[in-house]
Amino acid sequence: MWQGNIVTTVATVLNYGIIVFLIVSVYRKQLEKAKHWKIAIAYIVGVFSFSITIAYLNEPLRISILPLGIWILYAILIRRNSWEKYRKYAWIGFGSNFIFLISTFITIPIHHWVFPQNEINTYIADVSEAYVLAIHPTAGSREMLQPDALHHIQLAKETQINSAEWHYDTAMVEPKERQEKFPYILLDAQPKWGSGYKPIIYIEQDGRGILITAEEKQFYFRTSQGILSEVAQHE
Amino acid sequence: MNKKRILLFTIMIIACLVGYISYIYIKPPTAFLVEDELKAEINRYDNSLQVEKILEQIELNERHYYVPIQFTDGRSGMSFWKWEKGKWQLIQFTTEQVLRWQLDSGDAATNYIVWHRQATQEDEMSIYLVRDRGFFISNDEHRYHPRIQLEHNIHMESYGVEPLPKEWANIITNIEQPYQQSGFSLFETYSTEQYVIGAHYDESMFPENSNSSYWTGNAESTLEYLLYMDENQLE
Repeated sequence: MWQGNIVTTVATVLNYGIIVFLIVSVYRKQLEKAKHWKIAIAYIVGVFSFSITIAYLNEPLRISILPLGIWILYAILIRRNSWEKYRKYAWIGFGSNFIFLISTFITIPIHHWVFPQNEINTYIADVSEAYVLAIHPTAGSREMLQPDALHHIQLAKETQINSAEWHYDTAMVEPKERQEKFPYILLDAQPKWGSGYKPIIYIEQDGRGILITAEEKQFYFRTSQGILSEVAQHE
Repeated sequence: MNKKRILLFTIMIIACLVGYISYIYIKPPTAFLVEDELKAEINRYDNSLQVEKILEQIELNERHYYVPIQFTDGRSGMSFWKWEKGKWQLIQFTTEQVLRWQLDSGDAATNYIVWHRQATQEDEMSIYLVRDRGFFISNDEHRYHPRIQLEHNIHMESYGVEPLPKEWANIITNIEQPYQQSGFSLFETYSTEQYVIGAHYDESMFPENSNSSYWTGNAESTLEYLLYMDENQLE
């Protein structure tokens, strides 16, 4: 099944819809018609710009400043007397940088609203194909999800990450005696459809803590009951 | 009229070139080379590294072969072959005694440990997948990365090959995913998912043989050294 980000995908389709609409309406009004393939080139060159990147809600935003493509086209077309004919298409190209910028501005909050970042359901919606692996020698043998694990996971409460404390509590003893706090990993759990998340999910030694890394952020949840059970030992 | 003819001619040449190049890239592998061809190809590069004997031709997949060899000066050697650009290409030959070969740099499941030792006795070697523990705090954001440490034992005769466990590939793929998604340099500081694949072994398993290697430059090499892991680095 498709695992992309539905909000961004819809926004991208809409953006190109707007761009095509603008180009078509400029073309309709033109008395002296421009050539189709030259319109495409004027548009693509127009997109080219000098830009800076800033962070907004942990996402990069590209802000175009200098219309480099427009300058190049102007230099070439003014001598051929056809700058007037292609000027508007090039500016639509430069302007489309801002269409995408505004769309990012809008889609990030929408994405956060549809797929709340601090809710565990966003990252773990389906565990029917999920499995647990030990990632550290101190893991023990509880390497299976309990049949009702999803129920407990969905009721889990977000809790504070004490990263430095966890690290030093573990690392202060000799390597051979270190007990990893999160010695299991959960693979092939499905996030909410359309969220586009591909999280890393660690499970705590006691089977009740879930540490999730999604893109640039991390979240820690505690369940009221353990979600792991012992693997049956075959004699 | 003349102009049109030139244009048509150019297009035809380009079409032929594109066709030929794509034919070379799509062309399925032919049967692997025979011993004499292998020897001749290796002997071409370095007068001090001449092949005495081809020990075996080990197929890793239909496009990759590992060929352990014996050099005339008595040293053990390995050679690596890949079907690329419509030809069987020699990537590298070496007197290194153990390496990791990731056939497809984008697919962790194509990792193989390959060895050809100066020793003849049978041995056990432990290989490790390790990602170190770490934490980050910036503003109010906390992140904690558990230590990953997995062990796999390899039974070694004089020469051989062993794929990395499938679980390792699944874990590697999973821990790299959240970072591939955004992939913006703005957040490079967080890409802490660096893992290493290493081994712990006795010196007697790989007696000194003064290493020499020869990269042919025919194809991209994805051969890596196995990091030596000291007992006291392991938890």
